[in-house]
Amino acid sequence: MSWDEALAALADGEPGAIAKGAGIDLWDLLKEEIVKPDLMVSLLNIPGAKDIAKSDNTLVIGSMATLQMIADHTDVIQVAPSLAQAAGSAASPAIRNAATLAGNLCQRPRCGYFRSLLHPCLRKGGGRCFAQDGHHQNHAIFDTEGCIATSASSLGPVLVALEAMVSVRGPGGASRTLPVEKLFLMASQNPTREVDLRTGELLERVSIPLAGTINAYHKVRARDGFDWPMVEVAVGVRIDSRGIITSGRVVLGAVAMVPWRAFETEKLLLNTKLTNDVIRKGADVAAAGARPLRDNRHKVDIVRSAVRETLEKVRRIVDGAL
Amino acid sequence: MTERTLELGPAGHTVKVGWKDAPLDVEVWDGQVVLHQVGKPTRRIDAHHKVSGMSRYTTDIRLPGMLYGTIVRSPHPSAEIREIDDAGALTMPGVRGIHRLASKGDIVRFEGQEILAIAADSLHQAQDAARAVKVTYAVLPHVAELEQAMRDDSPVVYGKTSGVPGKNSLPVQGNVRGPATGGRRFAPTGDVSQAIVDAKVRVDLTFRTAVQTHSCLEPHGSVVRVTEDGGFEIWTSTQSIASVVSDVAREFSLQKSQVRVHCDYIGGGFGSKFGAGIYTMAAAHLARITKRPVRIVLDRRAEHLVGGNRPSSLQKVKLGASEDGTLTALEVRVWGSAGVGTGAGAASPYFTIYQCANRRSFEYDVFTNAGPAAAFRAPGHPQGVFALEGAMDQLSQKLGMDPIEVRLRNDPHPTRRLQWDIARKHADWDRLRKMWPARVGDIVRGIGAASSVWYNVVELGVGATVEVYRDGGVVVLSAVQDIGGGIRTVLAQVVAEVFGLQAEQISVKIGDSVWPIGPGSGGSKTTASLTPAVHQAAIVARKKLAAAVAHSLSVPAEDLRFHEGRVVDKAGEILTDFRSAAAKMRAEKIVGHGERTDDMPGISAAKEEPLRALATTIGGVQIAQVAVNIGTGVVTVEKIVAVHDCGRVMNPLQAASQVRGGVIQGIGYALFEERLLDKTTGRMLNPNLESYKIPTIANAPEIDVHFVDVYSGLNSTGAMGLGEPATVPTAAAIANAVFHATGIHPAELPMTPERLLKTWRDGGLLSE
Ligand SMILES: Cc1cc2nc3c(=O)[nH]c(=O)nc-3n(C[C@H](O)[C@H](O)[C@H](O)COP(=O)(O)OP(=O)(O)OC[C@H]3O[C@@H](n4cnc5c(N)ncnc54)[C@H](O)[C@@H]3O)c2cc1C
Ligand code: SF4
Repeated sequence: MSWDEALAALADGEPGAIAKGAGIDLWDLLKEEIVKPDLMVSLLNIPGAKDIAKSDNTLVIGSMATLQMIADHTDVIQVAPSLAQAAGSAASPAIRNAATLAGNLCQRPRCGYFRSLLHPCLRKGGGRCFAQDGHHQNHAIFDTEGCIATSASSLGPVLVALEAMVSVRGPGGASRTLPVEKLFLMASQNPTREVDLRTGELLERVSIPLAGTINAYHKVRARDGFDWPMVEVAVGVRIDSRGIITSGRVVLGAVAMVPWRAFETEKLLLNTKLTNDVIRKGADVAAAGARPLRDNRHKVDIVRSAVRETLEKVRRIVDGAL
Repeated sequence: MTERTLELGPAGHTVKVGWKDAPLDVEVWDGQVVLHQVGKPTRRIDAHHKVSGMSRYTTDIRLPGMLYGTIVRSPHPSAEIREIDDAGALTMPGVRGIHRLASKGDIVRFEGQEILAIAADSLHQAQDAARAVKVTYAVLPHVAELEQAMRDDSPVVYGKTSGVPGKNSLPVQGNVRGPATGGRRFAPTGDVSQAIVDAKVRVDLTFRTAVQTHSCLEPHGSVVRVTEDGGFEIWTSTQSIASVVSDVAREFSLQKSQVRVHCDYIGGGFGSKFGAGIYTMAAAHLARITKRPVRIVLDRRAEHLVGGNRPSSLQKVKLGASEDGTLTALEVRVWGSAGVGTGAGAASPYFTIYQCANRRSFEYDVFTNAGPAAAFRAPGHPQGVFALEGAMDQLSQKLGMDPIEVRLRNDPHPTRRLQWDIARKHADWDRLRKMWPARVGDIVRGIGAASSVWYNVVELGVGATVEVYRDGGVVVLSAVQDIGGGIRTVLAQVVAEVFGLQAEQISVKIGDSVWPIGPGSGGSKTTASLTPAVHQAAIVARKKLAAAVAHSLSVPAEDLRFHEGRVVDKAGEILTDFRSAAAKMRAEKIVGHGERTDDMPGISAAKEEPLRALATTIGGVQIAQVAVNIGTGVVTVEKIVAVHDCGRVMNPLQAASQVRGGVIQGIGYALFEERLLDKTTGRMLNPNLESYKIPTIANAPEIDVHFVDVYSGLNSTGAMGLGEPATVPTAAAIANAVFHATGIHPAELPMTPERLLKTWRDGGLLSE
């Protein structure tokens, strides 16, 4: 099957057709009866869809590449070690061996109310958010007015930090390319969808600019191994020959429905060297603007700690590079 | 009858005890006997079967013509059933039968409560039919949380019309039943109020623990077939074959002999797999209705909802002590919720670990709209010990004393004192307790300790058969089940010991109710209950064998010895090997029976201290080393030193595995495990193993296990229990280590990052 055949099959099956990568998330949703497709179109066997290759100025990763392939690929490790690390530490070895890049970016949130058919919440088109005054220890701390679920993708924040682009193929072969950052939808923008794909559109590949950044990833989870992050941080910076930061992105995961850029920290880092002082201040402002809920203030504390850890990782790489 | 002397007590500290009326035919393994198979680290005889997937668990059973059953459950935590319409479901493809488990007008009191069961040709057909069943409910108010249920304005789980469970002598007010004040065993002593007033040092503390579900990796389930005589043959995942036989016989008015129950392997029980359970009964009814074998296995959601759990607790603890650390007052009030059930008490360890002249307890069951609790690995004890030992550490801090010193001052148990010595040495306690808390970056290390207790529980009347075949085969038969403790292997060791053979030469047949009745595996009693019976059966068989071959060996039977695979005479002269000796039997096989009778009568010394303590309680102590990240609230357990006793250590390899399993489960209880019920809907939010977090192997620290062998003289093998105490002190020790590291006792389980960071923020730890 080719991309166009897959798209045609999906179009034929409308409504009620759904694309499937490894199905890790899809099976969970099927079991809970959150999705009830009439037709599933597997993309796993599309020729070339798993390829990872370096071209002149980008590293291209096919959307059906597995997390483990990404984690193990030498070009990924060289250009985007943070991506290799995020892919290599998500979920469990068994899941990583199957789970795909596209499936990871497009997976649905893990909010327990969302995953329960018995709770007709906003994200399922219902009238209320049960988490707002229920259990929300691991929910959002930004954009917390309506649905407060968080994006479950660990690769999303890393790809945003790496300024990656995503290629989307639509019905009739129409393609478009957009920054990964634009792929995700804030909960307040659209409470029922997480990614900005139109009906019948598929993620084909992701490209990461080679004009490389120094990048690092750090994740904090309650249980070490086989657990979702409470907070994760991806950083990508460019430095000049003196170690001064000329541009940079600091992106937080598991704190909102989108990879959340810590703009205050980014501003603070610009035109500075990563000194202890800069790192501390950068960490302190990372959660600026956070509106934590009754029971998740700890995530604000953890953001601070995690951003500091990540910036220290970056500093170690910078020190090594100079 | 004869007069004998036994060596009893902890290894290295035994004393000679006279035994006046010792029966001639009982061989007792005391502290001086030399054993070759028992006590030797022996690999599980079924290890290969388990790791290669050859072991058949209940979920693997597929009978010809078998139907798949599923259970329709209430989605509501509190409702009245107005109507059950299953007519449509019955006509769906593949559906063969429906059995009602509730009726119109019934009240459901927890999410997951059973409404009816459906059997169909495939599981998917059964599930489709389940979705087509229309149940109309009138939803009633519910209460999900312990402390909410205690309030006067809370919805009441058991209204006036319906029977409150439990023995009725206790008062019931709203959802609160109690207090129980200890009964005869833990009756109040002294004058607690006065002693608290008089105490030089006192603490008055509150602790909380969450509901932990059993989360057995193999779910509850049964496959049931109707037999030719109108009875049943049942394959089930159970920790008590005998209880399944009697439950089913009672339900269907059958003779016990008409109910045959198999359980070759169990993927975890922890107390939740006693009795037939509704799923077995439903499968049996459906098997009768459809005249086909029926399989019902719970899914993971049902496991969490109805598979049993450890009750929550709210504990208010008061301790008083004199300046030297001697406890003078101890009071605990425990409220716990076993959901719609009872059994949330947690006061026992407050009475059985330390001595204290003035002591009292008040235990309350608080009903909530949640699935009933079940016995769970040392019921009441992990939660009770978490609070008691947390209070002991805070008392120690006030006293300015080392926490282990304070424990030693109040715990006269001879074994426990030895264990503290061993533990503090292997954990490097004296040095680390002073050197820590030490901070590197955000990581602070601490070390903490806790004690545990459990009891000598024994099931009498169980039996075993040992057979010796003319071809030299030796077989032991018992209807016991191996819950994972490794009783299969221990039975082989015991029989091998008696015949001078190796454990792997013995074939063990267990897990079938046609064999002599075995003990239930709960209360940590399997090995202590069964090995004496097997020991006796083997001795009887050996005597018969000796008698059968003595003539052809030209040696009197009483002079024959069985040793290292050979048959020797009194002088040690080798006569022949075991197999050749057996070949001389006339009969095809000889059979020996043994039964577990009362603990050995006449060892009166064991009824006095210090041996009495050894005979009544078992336990152990654990020391935890933790690394606390004060930036993220994440606690990493780096090492646990666990020193336990279980009478004679029958198989050190398996015993150590029991302790490791207990420790790892205790880590889950300490850090991760928590049933989350949504307050507004009363529904469980994490009925899976993804967000209900049990520890993974990656979370297992270094676990340094040591044993103190204890020769109790209580039974002929000297075995006692182990499985339960192994998990009792872990969470308490970890919490105390976090207390050492941070100066703030966590006070609430599990110690999740959000709880810890909040506690630290409130306690001023994070105000840099
Ligand atoms: C216990 C557990 C822990 C986990 N921990 C982490 C973690 O820490 N970090 C993390 O990032 N993830 C984690 N995961 C999630 C896991 O990474 C995702 O479930 C997985 O990546 C999904 O990939 P898949 O190929 O199976 O997707 P599928 O289940 O096949 O698909 C998921 C969604 O993507 C859509 N989709 C698939 N392919 C395309 C395409 N080409 N174009 C458009 N839409 C498409 C599908 O329609 C579906 O809606 C965890 C999962 C589990 C179960
Ligand atoms: S957080 Fe979002 S997904 Fe969760 S209950 Fe609220 S609306 Fe639903």
